[in-house]
Amino acid sequence: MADQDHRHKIDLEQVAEHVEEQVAYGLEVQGPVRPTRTLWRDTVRRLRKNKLAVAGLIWVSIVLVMAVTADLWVPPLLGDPIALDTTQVSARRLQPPSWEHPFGTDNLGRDVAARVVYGARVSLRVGVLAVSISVVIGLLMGAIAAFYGGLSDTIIMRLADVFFAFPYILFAIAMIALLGPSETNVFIAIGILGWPSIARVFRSSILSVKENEYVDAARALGASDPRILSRHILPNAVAPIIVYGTMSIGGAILSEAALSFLGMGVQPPQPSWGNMLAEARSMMVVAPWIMLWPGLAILTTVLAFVLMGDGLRDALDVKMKE
Amino acid sequence: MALLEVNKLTKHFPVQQGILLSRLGGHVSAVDDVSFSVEKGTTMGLVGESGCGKSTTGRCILRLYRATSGEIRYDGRDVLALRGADLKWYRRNVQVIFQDPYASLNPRMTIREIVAEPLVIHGIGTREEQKKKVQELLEVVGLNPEHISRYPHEFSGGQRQRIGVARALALNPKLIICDEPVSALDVSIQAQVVNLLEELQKEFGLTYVFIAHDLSVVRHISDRVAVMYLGKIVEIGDWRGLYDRPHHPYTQSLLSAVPVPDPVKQRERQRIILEGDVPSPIDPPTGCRFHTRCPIAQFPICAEEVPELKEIAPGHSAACHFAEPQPIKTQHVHGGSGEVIGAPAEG
Repeated sequence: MADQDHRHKIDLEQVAEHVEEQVAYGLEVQGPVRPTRTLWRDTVRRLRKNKLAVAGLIWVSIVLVMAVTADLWVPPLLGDPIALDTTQVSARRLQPPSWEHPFGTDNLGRDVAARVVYGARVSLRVGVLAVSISVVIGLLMGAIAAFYGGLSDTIIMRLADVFFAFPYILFAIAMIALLGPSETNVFIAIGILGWPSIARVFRSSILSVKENEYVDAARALGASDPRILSRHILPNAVAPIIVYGTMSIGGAILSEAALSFLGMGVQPPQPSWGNMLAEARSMMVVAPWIMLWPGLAILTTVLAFVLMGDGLRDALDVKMKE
Repeated sequence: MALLEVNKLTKHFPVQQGILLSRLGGHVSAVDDVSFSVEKGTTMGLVGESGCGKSTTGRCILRLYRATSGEIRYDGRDVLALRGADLKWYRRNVQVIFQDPYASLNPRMTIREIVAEPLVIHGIGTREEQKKKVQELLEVVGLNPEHISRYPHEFSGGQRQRIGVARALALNPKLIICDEPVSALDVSIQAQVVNLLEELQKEFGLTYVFIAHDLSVVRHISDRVAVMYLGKIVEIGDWRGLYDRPHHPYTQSLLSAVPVPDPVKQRERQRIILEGDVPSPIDPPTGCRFHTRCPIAQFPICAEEVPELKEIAPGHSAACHFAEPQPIKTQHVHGGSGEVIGAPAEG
């Protein structure tokens, strides 16, 4: 026993020293005066530092504002994107870009710029709605699979595998062939086809978060299951979904364009970037601008969403320090 | 009476095989027939290699795992049968400090939320009172109370571990399970945290179950030490007796592996180097689980008969058919870095 006391005596002095050191360190090096930073503000700050992500965000904002306000300024400035002036078709058709028609005109004399702007409405609508459907189904399925495990996990994940086993576009075409081609059916098809990826990402994300010791710590503190779920697991598991969802919007826009190009999506005369490309294909040599603008619009918008998602991934990672 | 009693604790994990039609492919016996007791205000050290079941034992005590069989008594009450309000009472009295200071704090919560969470869960105090308590706790563990609204990633490993300690202390527990609390820290920081734990034990009369694989750390803090191998306790005793006169060949080899901060002695002393790896706990060796690697095993007895924990000195037991005191001599050097083991007999 005497020996143990001796042991304690030595250490107590060290304890006092160490505690003092630590407090001093905290005061001097880090300083208590630095303003507190919330996680949200941190995220925004990190996102702002990523120039590509900011560029993506700006581009998406521009496209969004133009699409939403299109009715106000497109018809008076550029002309109607759909209606034909049958008496003027031969005079106006296939004009190269000019001051009057900055993107030129198509084979029916309609302004290509007007049609690209209205096509943006379709693309954004389909992109956002399709991903919303995927996310709602995917989150639900992923959460059920991860929480309950066992049989429900097996059934859901094997069902997801079945979805993955089919070629994506072929599956979409088959669904639209059943439902009939229209904008609504396009986003329903794309949305339904998108859920397995979201479910997989969310499931694995929950499973890995569940293993963290802070979940055990909360359980040892006596936290209830709902509390552990809402306070500890979900907030840490949704970040990948935000990232994946943002990138998926780009993917959904691309799928819509592909389906419309194949005639399975938005039907003429309603403009969509995909069906504009399809119509322009036959005139590619004589009037390349008709194809150029919707193509560029698809490229830049999809890229913008992907860059945004990429930036969000870095910004949402709390462990990343500058 | 002992504050914590563990009797014949056993924990099996089922092993699933196959993907589509999974079937039970045996089980891992992570903890097998483990018994020990911890007196109030003392520290019980649990040591052993990775996978020997020491953490599983801790988690069974914490009711994070459901024990397969056996009995755990806290303050005379049957822990495994606790439910509802009784379980909450137990959770208030028994807390945990985890190994990884990066994984044990929720990165999306502020320090205030983290340390106040136990108070919120158990409905103790108003928001203002909770905040005051959090600040007090931060001061107790040697952190700046003004850092209350920061996030875990703004702190270093040692500071985070202190936050974990503060959270464990929030409910004024009597027993704290320290699950390798310093293994993930730098050696210099390890000393600080261990000293903090000792300091807190004196101040609040805490009882610890201290799980670690580092023998020097365990010796520093423990009153009693249990050595585990493949889910079983092979030797248990007061730290002094166990370190001075290890009887089990496994304990002896562990002790001989502790490095000595003296190159001359380090070169001279004889080490017992075990052959091979730890066998799979799915299919543990028959008889004595250590016989496949034991330098003094004799056959057939060691491969056939499971050795019981036999008392070899007062309060000191070993589970070996041929238990005898150390072939390695240990030496105690007092001062600075604590005692040092090793060095064969002088002269």
